[in-house]
Amino acid sequence: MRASETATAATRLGSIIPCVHFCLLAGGFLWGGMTFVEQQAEFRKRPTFRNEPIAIRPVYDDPSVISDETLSQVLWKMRPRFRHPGSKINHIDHALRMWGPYANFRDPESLSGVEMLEILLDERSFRRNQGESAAALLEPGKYGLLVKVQEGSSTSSHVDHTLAGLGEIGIPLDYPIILNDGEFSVSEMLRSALENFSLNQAEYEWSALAFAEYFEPTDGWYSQEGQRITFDNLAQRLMRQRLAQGVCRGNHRLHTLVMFLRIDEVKPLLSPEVRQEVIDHLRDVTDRLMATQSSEGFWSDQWPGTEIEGMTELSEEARLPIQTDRFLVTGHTLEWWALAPSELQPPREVVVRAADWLSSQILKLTPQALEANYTFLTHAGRALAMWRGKLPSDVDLTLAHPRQR
Amino acid sequence: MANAESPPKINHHQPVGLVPLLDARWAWGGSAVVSTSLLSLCWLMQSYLPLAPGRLWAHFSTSDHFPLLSGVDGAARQFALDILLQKTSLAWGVAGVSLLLSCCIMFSLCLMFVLFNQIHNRHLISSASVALVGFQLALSAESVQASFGGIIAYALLLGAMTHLGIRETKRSRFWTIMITGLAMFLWVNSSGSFTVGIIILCGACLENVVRAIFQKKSIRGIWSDWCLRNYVYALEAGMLGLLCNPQGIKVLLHADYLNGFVSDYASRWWIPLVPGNLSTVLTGALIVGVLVLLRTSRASLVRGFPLSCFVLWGLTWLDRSALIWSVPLTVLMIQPLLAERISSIFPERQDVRRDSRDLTSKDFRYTLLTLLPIWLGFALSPLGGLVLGGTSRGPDQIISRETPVNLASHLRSAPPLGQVVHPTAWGDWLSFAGPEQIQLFLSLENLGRCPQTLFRDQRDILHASLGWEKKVERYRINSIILDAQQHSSTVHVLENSPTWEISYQDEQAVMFRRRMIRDQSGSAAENL
Repeated sequence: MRASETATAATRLGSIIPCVHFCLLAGGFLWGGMTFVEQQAEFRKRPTFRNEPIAIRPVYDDPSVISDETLSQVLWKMRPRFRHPGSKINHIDHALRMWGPYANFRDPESLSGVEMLEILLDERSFRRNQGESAAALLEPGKYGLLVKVQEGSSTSSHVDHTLAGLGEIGIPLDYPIILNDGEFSVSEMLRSALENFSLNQAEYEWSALAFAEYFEPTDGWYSQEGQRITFDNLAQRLMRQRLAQGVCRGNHRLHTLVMFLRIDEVKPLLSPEVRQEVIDHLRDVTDRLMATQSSEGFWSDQWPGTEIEGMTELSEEARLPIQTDRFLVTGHTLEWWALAPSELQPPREVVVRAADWLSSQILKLTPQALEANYTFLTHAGRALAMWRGKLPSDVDLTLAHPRQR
Repeated sequence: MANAESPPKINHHQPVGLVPLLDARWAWGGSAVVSTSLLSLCWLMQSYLPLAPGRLWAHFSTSDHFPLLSGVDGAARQFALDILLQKTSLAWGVAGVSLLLSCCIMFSLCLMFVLFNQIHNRHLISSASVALVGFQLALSAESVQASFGGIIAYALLLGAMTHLGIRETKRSRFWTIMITGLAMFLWVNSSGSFTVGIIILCGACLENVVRAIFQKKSIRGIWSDWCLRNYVYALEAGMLGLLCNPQGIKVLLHADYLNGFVSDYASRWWIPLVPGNLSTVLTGALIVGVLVLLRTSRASLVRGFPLSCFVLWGLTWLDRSALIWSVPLTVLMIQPLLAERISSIFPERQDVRRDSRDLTSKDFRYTLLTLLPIWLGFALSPLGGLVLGGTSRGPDQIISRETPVNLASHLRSAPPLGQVVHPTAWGDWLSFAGPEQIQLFLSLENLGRCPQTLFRDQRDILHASLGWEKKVERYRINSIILDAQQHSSTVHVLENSPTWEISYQDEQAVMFRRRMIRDQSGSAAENL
């Protein structure tokens, strides 16, 4: 009797246990599934785009930095004479960023702003300028439109420079892009840049700037690699490297940091702590630049002076001609200072000395030297105009060339 | 006479598993519950005592050391964090994890008891388990976890083999134990994971399903099969263990990584589990060997084994992550065949009296024997030392020889400035034992969560691959720590570099720093 009772109890237990296990298993799967779906939704969430990019205008107008006449002469010399076939796309890309879409020149060799925009964003114009056999600048990718970088003279020179440049000159996201594959828009370039972005990619400063220009306020998003990205950690990433390391001797990073500060004044971008970190960082950079400026007014590739790692050591392939380096660093520096808040400004004589050197040297350049340094000089030209409170397209060029009227 | 020479038959349909266990509930209630509770506590104490690097807990306490991973919230990590910490307070999170781990261990040990009850000649198994535990304990403290995983996996494998009806002789059993013990030891030691057992379980479950399908059983028939039901229980326990066990989560993450890092990552971390990582010739030889075994072995075999095995092997050619599932199944198939072949090489001695006891008999002595490894694990653990007294193990016994102890001491006395790149496996220890302000690159704990670019860049720097100098600049790395043996060629490159100089060197590690680096960063004004 006792044996049969034990057997019955064991049988009962034997049928209860599977039920309990089923419930546990089903509950576990349900909970796991719900958590998974929730997490996936979070990972897929992306910032909202704003159609019109944030417009950042120059804030200083100081005739002591450069006179109207000199500015006009410098800018006239730097007009985009790229109508001839086979012009380098990175020249046009930089020229568009400098001159904007509203520029117009009474010079048959020079492209207007609209024409430059069309060359970049309309494959028909691109082919007319670059030839049928040139590698395409834009091509459809997995997430949108990819901008080809450093794949020959018909491609861009910096990652997402074209996109950030479009943002800086105010091109909206719904601006059409015409390719042989169909009609797209700038928003698809931005989407592609966003999805392909990695916090540790080699060049990231223009991507970060494009995000700042085109994103609505956001508390962050996840990259395809699963890393959470906020403008705070973008700013910290921009401050991480040695000062002169990176493209254009590290100056693009400084420009982006200044743009972060300016955009942060319009829409929330940085936390107060990181904003202060950025200001401290740029203040340190300004101190270094003040200490390393040459008596003539320029800076060289050693502009940061001594960091904890010592002086900047450039590899052979990173070296540039001395004068090119001076144009590069001096032009870029004046550009980000022109946009920087007043607390980051050096004494005005530092700027004046640099602008004097820059304008005088540009005016002396031969056409060949001008072309060789054109991309760097666009930053200088833009900087000089901004120190007069204008964008280059707003400057009266008739002072230098009456026919322009 | 003929009966005396033929191996004892096993009734495949005899009720095994929970029923005999329930019959022996006094043993379960009296000893298993107490011992598993002790074991759980021991395991948890092991987790909280940061004696060895590479714990999930180490990451939570040291995440500030990995600035490059700021914002790294991968899906799996987020999932784990939600389970462990974020959606509860820390205290409740830890309590919850403790409870889950305890349940997991209880389930697993329950299963172990079940399977031990199935296995013939349990003396040998218990002895081998004890030896396995003792040997692994001698190697490092972290192996305690691995040992229990190993025992469970080992028992599961043997149980499964018994269940398959492999012909039993003392010699075949001996060789089976030796081979499987060696395989398990290698696996457990290399992947250090309880999840090996889980993987085997999944393989066993799959095997049973395949077998049932070939036997044309109905769904109801399959489910009513006690053996299969036990596997399902085991699978549940395994999945629970997989999710609750930090090592299990790591395996999931690594499996995910296999899709991204097909060659390097797999070859570096998954050699024991990845026959496909062997050279083509070796892989071919392996396949030929299996074919020879299949054709010559007299061990019982159904069509499902080789078929499913080769299907899964085929899948591994498409996606290497399928290896995780194909290997256990392959092992389940190969080990019995191999054991049978080996035992045929050494003929059975006729003068040995065969153990022909009824396999269904239960004996409490065997249950006690299975308690021995558990007791041993407890007695040799830090908690056991506290309770039972005795001399505590010294750091040299607790910390594995691969741990860069001297390097960490040096770093504490001379903290490096800025970002440090180092062998991945040393990251956790350096974050635990190194200076507070050290900025490390990656560790094994966060490897599964790191962006792929970080892992690739670290690997390129450590191996001085093309373009490594640019990556050093990109991450602003001021110190490079290298394994003196593993990265000897990189050591040579850096020794001849004008930019780097040796700042520390011992037999295990070499540390380089930039020649020009200053002791203190200072302000711009001081530096100019």
